Amino acid sequence: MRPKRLILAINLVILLLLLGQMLAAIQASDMASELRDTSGRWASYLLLATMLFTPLGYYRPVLRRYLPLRRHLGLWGFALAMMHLLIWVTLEFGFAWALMWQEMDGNLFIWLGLVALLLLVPLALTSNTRAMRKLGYRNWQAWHSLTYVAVPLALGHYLLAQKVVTAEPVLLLVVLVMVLVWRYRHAH
Amino acid sequence: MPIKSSEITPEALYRQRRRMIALGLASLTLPLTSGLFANTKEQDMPELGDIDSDGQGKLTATKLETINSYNNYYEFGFAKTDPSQAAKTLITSPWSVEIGGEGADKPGLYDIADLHSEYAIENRIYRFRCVEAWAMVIPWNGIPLAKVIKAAQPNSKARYVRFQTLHDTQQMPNANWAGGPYIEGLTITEAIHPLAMLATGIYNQPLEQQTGAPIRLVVPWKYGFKYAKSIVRIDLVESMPRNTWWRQNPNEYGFYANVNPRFDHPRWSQASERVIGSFGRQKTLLFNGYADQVAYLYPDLSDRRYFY
Ligand code: HEM
Repeated sequence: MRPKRLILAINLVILLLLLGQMLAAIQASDMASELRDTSGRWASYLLLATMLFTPLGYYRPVLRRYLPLRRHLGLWGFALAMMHLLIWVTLEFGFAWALMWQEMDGNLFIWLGLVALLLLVPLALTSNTRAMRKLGYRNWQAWHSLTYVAVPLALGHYLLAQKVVTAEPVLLLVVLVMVLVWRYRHAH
Repeated sequence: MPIKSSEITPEALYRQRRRMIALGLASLTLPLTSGLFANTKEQDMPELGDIDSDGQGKLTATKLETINSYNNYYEFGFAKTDPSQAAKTLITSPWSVEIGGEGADKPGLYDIADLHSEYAIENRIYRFRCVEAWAMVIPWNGIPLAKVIKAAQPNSKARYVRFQTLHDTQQMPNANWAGGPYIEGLTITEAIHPLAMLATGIYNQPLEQQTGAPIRLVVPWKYGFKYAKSIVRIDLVESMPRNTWWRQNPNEYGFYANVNPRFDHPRWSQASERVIGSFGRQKTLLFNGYADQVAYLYPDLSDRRYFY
C-alpha cells in the first residue's frame, strides 16, 4: 500500500477505535468518569506515539515516509485532551465554576494537565502545511519541541490522577524517558 | 438513652420514600456495662427524613446495577469495572467470621447463617462517600455492629476493633496488591455507634462479591475505604490497628478517615463529590451528613488526624 493510503487507513482505524471506546464508555455505570478517563488515556497514548517518529525514523528510514501521520496522531491526541477537559467541565462539574476552582486549588495534578493542554494549543493550531510554511521549518520545529514539555507534564498528570501507582502510566513514562534519553544523546 | 425513631423499614420504603433512616434500636439494645463505653454520650437518632435538612433535597438511592458495577475492590483489580467481572468466582458460602482478640471475653466463630438467624436484619439507607470524591446512596441490609461486638463480651482491653478481609491468592487475582490481607479498624466507641453496621445485603438482595459479599463493614460518616469487605476476622484489640491504606500511604490516608469537606486529600479536593449515576457535583457534608449523630466522638474538629 502506498504511504498515503496507509496513513488514511490508520486514521480510519483510529476513528473507529475511538468511537468503539466512547460507545463502551457511554454504557458504563458511571458514564462521566468513564468518558473522562477513556479520553484522557487515549490522549496520552496518541501524544506519546507522536514522539516515537523521530527515533523510529532514525533506525528505520523507510518509516520516514509516514511522517505526516505524526501530525494526525498529535491532532487526535489534542482533540481527545480537549474532550477530556470539556467532560470535566460539563458532565463532571456541570459548569459549577466555584466547585471547579476548589478542585483546582492546591491540586497539582489538575494544573499539570491544564498546562500540558495549554502548551498543546499552539502546536495543534500550527499542525498544518500552511502554518509550517509561514513559520519556516526552523521556527516550526522550535515551537513543536514544546511537545517535549507538554507530554511529560501530561503523563505526570496521569500518574498523579490515580490513587495508587498503577502499571500503565509508569509504562508510558518509561517509554517517554527512553525517548528523552535518546533525543538528548542525538541532539547534536 | 432516649431514642426518637426506631422504625424498622419495610421493603416498600425503597420505592416509596427513598429516604435516609437511621435506627436508634441498636443503642437501645446496648445496656453495656463496663466503663469502657462511659464516653458514649446520649444523642438523638435522626428521624426519618431528618437527614434532608441540609437543603440538598431528598436522597435518591443509587440503582442496584450501578452499585454492583462501579466498585473499588483492589484484590480483584484496580479499575472500577474489574471487580464485577473478576470477583464472580469468589466462593462466599459457606462463610464464617471469627471474632476474637485480647479484648473479647467470649470469642467465637460465627457462620453467616447463624448471624442471620440470631439478629434481625435492619434496613438503612445511607449516603456513601468514597475518598476519591464520588458518592452514592445505598440501601443496606445488615445487623448493627454493636450487637456482634456485645456478644463477644468486650473487656477493658477492647479499645479498638480490627477487621480483616479474606486473603486468598487462589480466588483473588490481585490478592497481594497491599502485601497482605486488607485491614481496617475503628475505635470501640465508633464500632458500637448505632450507625455502624455489618451489611449482608443491598436492596434486600444478598451482597454480590464485588460489593463485599458475604459480609462487610458500613460506617457512613467515614470514607469508603474504611468499609472492609468480605470480612473473615473481627478482633477486639488494645492498640490501634494499622489499616491497609494508612500503611500504604501514611501521608494521604490515616486511621479515622472521617468525611470532611474542609480537609482536602493531598492530591485533590474533598469539598465536593460526584454522584454516581447522575451528572454534576454536590457539596460534601461534614461527616458525610451524619455530624449530628457522630461529631461528639471527635473532640477537636480542627484536628486533621480525624479527617484523612
Ligand atoms: C494533555 C492533557 C491531558 C491528558 C493527556 C490527560 C490524561 C489523563 C489521564 C490518562 C487520566 C487518567 C485516566 C484513568 O484513570 O484511567 C486523567 C485523569 C484526569 N484528568 Fe486529565 N489529562 C489532561 C488534561 C487534563 C485537564 C486539563 C484536566 C482538568 C482541568 C484534567 C482532569 C482530569 C481529572 C479530573 C482526572 C481524573 C482523576 C480521578 O480519577 O479522579 N486532565 N487525565
